[in-house]
Amino acid sequence: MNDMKKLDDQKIQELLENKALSEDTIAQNPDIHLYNKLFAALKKEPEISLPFGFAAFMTNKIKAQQIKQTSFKSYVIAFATTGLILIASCMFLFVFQTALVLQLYAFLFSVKYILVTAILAFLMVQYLDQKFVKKRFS
Amino acid sequence: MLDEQELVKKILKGDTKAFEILVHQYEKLVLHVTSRVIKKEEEVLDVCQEVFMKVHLGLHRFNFQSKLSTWIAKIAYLTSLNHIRRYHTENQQRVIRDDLQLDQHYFSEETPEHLLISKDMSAYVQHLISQMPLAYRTVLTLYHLDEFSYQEIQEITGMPEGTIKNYLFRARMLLKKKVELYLQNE
Repeated sequence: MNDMKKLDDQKIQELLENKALSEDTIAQNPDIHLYNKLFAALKKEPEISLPFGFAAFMTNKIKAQQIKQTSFKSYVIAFATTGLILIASCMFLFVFQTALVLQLYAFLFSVKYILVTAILAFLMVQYLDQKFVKKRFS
Repeated sequence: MLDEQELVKKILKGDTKAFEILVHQYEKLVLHVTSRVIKKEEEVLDVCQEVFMKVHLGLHRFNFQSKLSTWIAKIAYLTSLNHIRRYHTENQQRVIRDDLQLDQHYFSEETPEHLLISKDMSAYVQHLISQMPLAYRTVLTLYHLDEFSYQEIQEITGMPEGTIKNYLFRARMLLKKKVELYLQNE
C-alpha cells in the first residue's frame, strides 16, 4: 500500500515536471491539485533581495580594484627606476670621485641600523595604511 | 540584448559596462543560491560580492562548454559552501551530512514566526524549505526557482543525477504532506 502510494506520488511529480497534465485532470484529482499548488509555491522567489544598484556597485568595486593594481605596478616601476638612477649615479661618482664615494659608503655603513630601521618603519606604515585605513574607507 | 559569448568577450577586453550587464543578469541567480546555503541575511550580500569578484577574475577560464548561468551558479554554490565551512562551525555537520534522512528531520512548527507565516501558503513552503538539510534546499532551489536541468544541477553541486532526483522527490513529497496538513487546519 505504502509502495503504491509512493509510486503514485512519483508518477504525479513526473507528470507535473513534464507539464503533461491538463487543467481538468489537475482540478479533478486532489493529490495532483495539491502537488500543482506546491510546484507553484516552489517557483515563488524568496523575500530577500539585493540592494538597488548592486550591479553598479560591483562594477565600481572592480574598477577600484583595477586602479589599485595599476597603481601598484606604478609604484614598482617608480621604485625600480629610482634604484637604477641611484646605482648609475654611484657608478659615475665612483669613476670620477672615488674618494667621495668611499667616504659616503663609510658614512652610510656607520648609520646602517638607523637607515634600515627608517626604511622598515616607512614600509610598515605603508602596509598598515593599505591594510586597515584605505581598505576600510574604500 | 548581448549573447553570452559577446558579453564575455567585451568583459575580457575591459568593458566594465558589459560586466554591469552580466551582474544585472545573474544577480538573482547568485542571490537564490547563496541565500539558500547561508541563512544569515547580512552575510549573503558579502558572499554575493565575493561571487561576482570571482566571476570577474576567472572569466578568462570560462570555455563555453556549459551555459554561463551554470558556471556562475557553481561558483556561487562553492563560495557559499566555503563560507559556511569557514565561519559557521555549528552548520558544519549539516554541510557534511548531506545524506541526512529527511523523514527524521525535525521541523519547528509552533513558533511565533510559524504562526505569522502560516497565513500564506507560499511563505509557509519557504519557511519549511529553509529548515531542510542543505542538499535538499539547494536542489529544490536550482530545479524549481532557477530552472536548471538535472545535468546542470549535477554540474553545479557535484551530486549524482540519481541523488538529485531522489532528493527532489523526497523533499516534494514531504512538503506536500506538510501543505496538506496546513490546508486542513486552515
